[in-house]
Amino acid sequence: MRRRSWLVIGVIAALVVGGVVLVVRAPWSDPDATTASSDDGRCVRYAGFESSGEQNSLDPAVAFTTQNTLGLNAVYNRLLDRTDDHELLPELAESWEPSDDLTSWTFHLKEGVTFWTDGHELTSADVVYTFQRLLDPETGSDALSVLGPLVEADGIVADDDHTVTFNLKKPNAEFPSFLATKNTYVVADGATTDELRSSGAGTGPFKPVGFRPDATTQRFDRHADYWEDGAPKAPCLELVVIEDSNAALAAIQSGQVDVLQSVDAVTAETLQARDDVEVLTTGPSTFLTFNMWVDTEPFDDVRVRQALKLVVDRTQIIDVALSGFGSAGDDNPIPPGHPYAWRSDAQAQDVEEARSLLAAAGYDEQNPLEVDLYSADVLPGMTSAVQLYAQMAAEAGIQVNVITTPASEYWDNVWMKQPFQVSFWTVRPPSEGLAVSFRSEAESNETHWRREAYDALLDEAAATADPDDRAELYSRAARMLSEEGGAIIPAFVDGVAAVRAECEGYEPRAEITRTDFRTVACDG
Amino acid sequence: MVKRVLVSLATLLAVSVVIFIVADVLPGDVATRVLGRESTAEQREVFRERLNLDAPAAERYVDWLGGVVRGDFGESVVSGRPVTEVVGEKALNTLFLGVYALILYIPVVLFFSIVGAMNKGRWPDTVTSGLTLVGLSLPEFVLANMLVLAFALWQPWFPPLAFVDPGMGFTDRIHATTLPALTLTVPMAVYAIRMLRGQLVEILDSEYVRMCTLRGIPRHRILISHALPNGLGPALKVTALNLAYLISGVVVVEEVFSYDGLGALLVATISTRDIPVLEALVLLGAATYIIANLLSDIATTLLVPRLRTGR
Repeated sequence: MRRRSWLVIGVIAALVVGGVVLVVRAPWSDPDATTASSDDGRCVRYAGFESSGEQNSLDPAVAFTTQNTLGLNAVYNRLLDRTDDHELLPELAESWEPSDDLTSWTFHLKEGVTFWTDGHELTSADVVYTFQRLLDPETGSDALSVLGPLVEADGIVADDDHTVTFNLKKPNAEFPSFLATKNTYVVADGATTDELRSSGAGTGPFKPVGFRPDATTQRFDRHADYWEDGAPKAPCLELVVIEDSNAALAAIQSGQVDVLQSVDAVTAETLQARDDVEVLTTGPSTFLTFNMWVDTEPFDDVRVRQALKLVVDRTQIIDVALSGFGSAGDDNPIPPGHPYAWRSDAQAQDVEEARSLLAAAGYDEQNPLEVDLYSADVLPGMTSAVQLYAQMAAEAGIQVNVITTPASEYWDNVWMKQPFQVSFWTVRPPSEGLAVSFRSEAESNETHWRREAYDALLDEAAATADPDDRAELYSRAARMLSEEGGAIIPAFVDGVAAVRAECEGYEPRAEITRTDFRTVACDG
Repeated sequence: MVKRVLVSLATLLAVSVVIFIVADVLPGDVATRVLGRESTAEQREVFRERLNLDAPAAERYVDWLGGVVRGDFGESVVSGRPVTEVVGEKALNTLFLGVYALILYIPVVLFFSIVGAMNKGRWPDTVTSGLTLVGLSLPEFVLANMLVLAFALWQPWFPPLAFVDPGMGFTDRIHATTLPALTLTVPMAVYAIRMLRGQLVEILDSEYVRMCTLRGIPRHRILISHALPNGLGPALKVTALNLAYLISGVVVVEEVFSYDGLGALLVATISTRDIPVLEALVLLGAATYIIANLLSDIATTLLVPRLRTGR
């Protein structure tokens, strides 16, 4: 009789095992099980790393996190694109030219470009609508703070069906570059904010399939009448977001996703050892900065600032904090390798020079320089870069007290509120990068850098038509920051992406908000 | 019973007040969160005005409560979508995962505790208790990663990430959620197994069981008809606690498996200070906890003979 109790247990066990087998039997990796698989390849499964949650949308006016920008890159085009070296490339605009005095810019649109919404052809009306909408405060776009100072809504006029002129408030030689930002995708004339949020209206390589902001997988199908020959290569696109780095690693190892938009250094090193995944890097993508207030003791003494810059061993920060995925910074926002940089190498470590500058400023062993550096884990590598920096400073007799705060409250409570704090920025074209946090009136002036001579250099550059003269002016401004400014910029961080070996044509871009889906395709 | 329901409602009300206060005290400004650190002061002002964020917290709370009483949970501060729409589908996803984990949990607990109790001191018992000790000491994210390594990468039976879609078929969904469900099942089951096995061992040693044995009642019948029902009480209590664990456990598990449920939403909501959604989520959690306890009390009364007979 005892056999019967084992029988009961056996039946339960069999049911469990049977259930598991039933579930396993439909392998998810079976190509027939995945959605679309047509004659020209399959869907590219692309994983972002940062979720916008409820803020995800297809409205280019608001690009909250990189998840928004993924969808925008798929369904829209801009007038022009810019390369990692900030050169401009034609996109919806075939060509463009300024008036002689640089106060207006005229753009000539490509013909035969159609919207995937209703197939109507792109005309000046769409472009004028797009930019007037961004300039309307009701829209609530970040672009307002960039474009607002340059141009007014009334200044944007359609000369004919395929020509648009922007009449500027003052001369600006770099204006076209401002039309290639994360918000400046061209939308259809008359599209409302609600329509754009929920379904979008663009000319891009893909069109959304039943877009929902909070769906796990965002599906996009090829725009059949897309204007660029041979693009997009993939028949469809599935966008997901994986925020956990272990999960991302498992997903690409198993082939559940084809591309990881951004991976951290540890994951990258693991993946480099595999044959079925390729790790790709970009040039300088973001930079770390330690900000000193130049108007506050002890940083108001330029010798103190120079000493605090001279103690940095930039190579060590790159090797240790960034696992080698970076390049040296030269205490200004232009990477040393960039055509506009004022010199091609970064400041080398010089502890002796730092010591003598400190001595001249009145600090010695009896009266050592002691500073509090506020930090938070806001970017991979930041915490260890700050720790390394404190050790390097100690070599010159400077005591750096690192005060680490929770990343969640850093931007609200610490950043810009302490005289020595960390932050990071994406690499921008020199005209933007030198202005966004260093102009006197900049809202993010995190080093309290207010110099008329500096602002004048930027203004003069903006009004200079000749590119070489302009480069000269920008590099003079950058040099001022390197030599006297309050920002210690030890390193630029490279973008790192990972792609399955069965995919080709993917090239990560240094600007993380720019993702090119046109050329990528996957087999099998 | 009426009293119990009233106390439950009062608890929920208290929870909602606490959440409102905490969300108000939490450092950080909703407008900066939503608009980003590069937004202008003017943009943030427009945003605050639109949502009436500058009004006193008490006034905003009363407004909100008035809505809830009428069944209107308000709109997400971040996206402007109704809270019920934001929470609804994710709640179903989490419910699915939780129920799946519970369905796996019951046979696992019964099997191991019965095997352990019936073989007290012999190797099946030693193995069971060893396994539960290991299970007790493993944090969820370690367990999750071990399961992924074993059953997604080494033996690719299951996907490493649990992506689900509303249009997905039932077996596909089961297939996608098996690893996260197992990750939830194990920590719940180990407690219950230890508890139930201990109870069964004690009962099997008791006088009435010896009496049954003397009467010649077969061992499996003693176990199923006499020992198990009497031993279930504490195990059901543990199960109620486990349901409460499920509510918090899903936060970690959903994160590790990129599962689209309440846990992930909760984390996102806290970081954006989206108070209407946060309130709805916490109330949902509290209500689940209260209801789980109520159900376990009812089940205990119905199942345990000693209590059923109205001692």
